[in-house]
Amino acid sequence: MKLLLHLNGKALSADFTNAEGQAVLTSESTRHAAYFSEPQPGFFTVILAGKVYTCALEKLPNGATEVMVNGQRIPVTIQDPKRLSHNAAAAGQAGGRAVLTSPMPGKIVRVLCAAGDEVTEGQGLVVIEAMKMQNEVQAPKAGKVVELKVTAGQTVNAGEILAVVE
Amino acid sequence: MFQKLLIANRGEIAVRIIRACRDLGISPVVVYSTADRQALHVQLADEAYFIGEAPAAESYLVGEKIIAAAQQSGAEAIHPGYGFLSEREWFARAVEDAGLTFVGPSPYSIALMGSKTNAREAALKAGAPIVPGTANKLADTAEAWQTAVEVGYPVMLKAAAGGGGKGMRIVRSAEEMKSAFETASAEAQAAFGDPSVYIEKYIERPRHIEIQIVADKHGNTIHLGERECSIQRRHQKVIEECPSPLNDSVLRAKMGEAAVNIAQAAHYYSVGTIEFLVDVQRNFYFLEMNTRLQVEHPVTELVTGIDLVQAQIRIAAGAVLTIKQEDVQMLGHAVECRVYAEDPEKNFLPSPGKITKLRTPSGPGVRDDSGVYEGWEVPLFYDPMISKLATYGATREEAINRMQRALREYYVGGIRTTIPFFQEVLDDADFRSGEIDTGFIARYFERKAALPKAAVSPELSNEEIAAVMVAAYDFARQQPAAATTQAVSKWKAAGRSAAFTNR
Repeated sequence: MKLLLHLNGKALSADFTNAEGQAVLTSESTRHAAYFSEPQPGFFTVILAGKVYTCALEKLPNGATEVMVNGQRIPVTIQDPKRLSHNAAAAGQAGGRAVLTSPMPGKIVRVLCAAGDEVTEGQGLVVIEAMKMQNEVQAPKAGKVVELKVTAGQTVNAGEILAVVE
Repeated sequence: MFQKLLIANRGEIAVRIIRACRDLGISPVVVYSTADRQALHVQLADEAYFIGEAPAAESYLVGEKIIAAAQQSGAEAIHPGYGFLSEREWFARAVEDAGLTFVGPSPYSIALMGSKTNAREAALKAGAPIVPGTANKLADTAEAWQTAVEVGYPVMLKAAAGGGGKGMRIVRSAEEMKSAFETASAEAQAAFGDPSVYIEKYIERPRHIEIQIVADKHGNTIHLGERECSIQRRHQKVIEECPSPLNDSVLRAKMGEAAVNIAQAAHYYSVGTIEFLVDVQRNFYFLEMNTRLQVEHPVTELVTGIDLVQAQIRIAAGAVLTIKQEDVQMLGHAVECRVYAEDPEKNFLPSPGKITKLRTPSGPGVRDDSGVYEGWEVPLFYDPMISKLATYGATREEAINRMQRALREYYVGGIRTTIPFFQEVLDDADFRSGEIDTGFIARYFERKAALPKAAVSPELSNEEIAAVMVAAYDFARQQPAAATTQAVSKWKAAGRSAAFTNR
């Protein structure tokens, strides 16, 4: 099937087929053939020109895909070109609006700003604690805190929206 | 020997102590919080008692609940592990007052060595070298000059009221003293509300080397050589090895003797660790004593062949040490990496969560002391260490090669761990050559930051091709019945087939 790919700062279109363990990836008119198998769910063995690549597939909570290849972590984004139009619209970020999300699951120990505050870039807005460590989440840009979604004492998941700065 | 022993801890160390109990024929009893109902230590125990809510202050730190669980189970002894209640004098005393045995030193030794000033005095009395300097607050620059001359430059100015690097200044000569004294005082005032500073000898590029002590209740004290723990991040050890890459038998004997003297001065029994700083001239200075089992105990076990947890339990039961100092032999080399649920790509942010996949290493010379399993959700309430991976080899090089092999075999899915970080550090030339000190990690990150960013190659590497294939395969199998590409419309197929036969 035809795919649009993003990985390690590269964007490319490619065609992928897999028939009975023979995988073929054609990209930019170069053809890569490999023996391909999934010996255990989520673990893959890819043999490219005799070289063995042990891969583990990782689905992140935010829907992103990462593949660990011989200990090297490679995030891969895949799109079906036929569905690109609405995907692209969804991926687009409203300019000038920065959404602050929690980098980890944890407990909000302090909220250092209030909705409506003018903040500077790098200013600490929220302090989250997990595993005995406190981490300050900072404003990604200067602007006004238009939304503040959390209060002290509350627990949050990774990726949960904390505040919006505009 | 005890019939039944309660473990007042969780995670990998609880599992480690359960194993020692079974090896000694003792029935292991554990306690657990709400967050640990499905924890590995509960699954491996003979009995388990619920002691409270997830925050440690409501469960693993509540001495009365733990002692009550021990009495309910009929356990004769309590092993505190490390962290939590392991170095609380009141807990050791409460355990003994309840008629149980505390698997550790006496409350007296815990209290004595737990105080920095008392420990320093005890070390001095035992004739052990301590970092030169005085804990006296300096009145003015004149007194600072005078003290610095007595101690010898370079010296360190330290805030009397605090730590964490605030109010600290290295002073290399008399000329630097005046401004350093003023800024350190100002910083101390700002950070702690107290401008007082004191002087200590500054030790350049110190190694952190510690001596393992084993002492019984009958006055026999021996040491099991050293561990090198210089690879530290935020004052937290991350890689330890035994012996030190210095591998200096003369220094080992001297430090060992000093450590034994300190332990005896503290009337110490059980296993314990005396920590020293070692300077570039191989002078050593007493730092502190840890009156408990140490996280990095496996490297000593691998090299000496002595099971420290078993020894600790036997000593608590009143056994006499069966080995003498001259029987202790150090053979080969061992390395340990502490696998933390932290993301090395995001400045080591904690990464609690569900372990979706787990592959653990094995084979010659590999020991994985883990507290987790596939499907386990690492709670966010406790220490982020999920496993201690140790490897053993005939030489340091073999031990490190084996560690690299084991790290390559190790896969933890669903959460981030420090495994990729160790893979990089173990490749570092300075680490390989044993040129390490407590500033190693800081310098390592500086070197890494200074490296020019590799240009993005337009060609796909083999690793990238493999990654794309895996991602594409997974993407394709998630498409509803592959309606978009593979399946051809039946109308079209019929049309083609008709066209073919009509030809």
